[in-house]
Amino acid sequence: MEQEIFSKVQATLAAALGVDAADIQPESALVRDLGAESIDFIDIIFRLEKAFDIKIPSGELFPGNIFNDERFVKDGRVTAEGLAELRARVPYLDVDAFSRDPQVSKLSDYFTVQMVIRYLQDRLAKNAKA
Amino acid sequence: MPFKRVKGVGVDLISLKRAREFVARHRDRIYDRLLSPSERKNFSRKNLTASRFARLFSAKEAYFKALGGEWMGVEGFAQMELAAHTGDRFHIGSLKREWQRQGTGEGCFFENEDYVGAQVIVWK
Repeated sequence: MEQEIFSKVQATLAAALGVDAADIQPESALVRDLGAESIDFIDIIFRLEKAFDIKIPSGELFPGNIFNDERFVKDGRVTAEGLAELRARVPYLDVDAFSRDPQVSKLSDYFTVQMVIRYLQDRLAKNAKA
Repeated sequence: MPFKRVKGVGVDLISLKRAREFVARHRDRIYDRLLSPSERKNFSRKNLTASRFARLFSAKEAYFKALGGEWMGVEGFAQMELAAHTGDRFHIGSLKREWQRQGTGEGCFFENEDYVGAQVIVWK
């Protein structure tokens, strides 16, 4: 199942980002490694919806404006409260890895292919139970 | 007369080719989820052209950058709307209270045959 999801995600991202599928690995960061920009994130969400026949509600995958409270960021670094907010808002993100050096500017490095796969695994499992 | 102080400046650029492909592929989703309710009143789904989308997208991105944001999320796009729009100049504001407090933006478009861009200034 995971391999099947990965193959579909790989094909979707390759089409959205104009890169070779072979360059897309689970650990690939969408921005840093695959060159994704804002419009690409929207394109990816819309394409995944079609590929997996699901609706991705706003804020579930790649939520925006996460640190909208001054308690969450100090001097460019995410605070403990901010990390808790991150875990709540973006449960598929590897927050443990990010927390080792929680610079806001580096958050997008943790928006990875693996994060997308985790999200889809969870969503598809929930849909199957419903 | 006191000078106005700049809170932020944002610029964004999108290729018309990319906009064309994006609209061709996702017209309904764009119309339903990236446009504010007022914007949807201004033109119909079938009148969502690549140029129109490129202007809306670049203006919203530029405004969010002027507010100092990283990524606004899909939901963020529909929560911003172009207000007055005369020629290449526009005002842009937010339906979200926390962004409203930061200010509305004044902007203008620039374009050639390949790209559409927008620049926005948000005043304190």
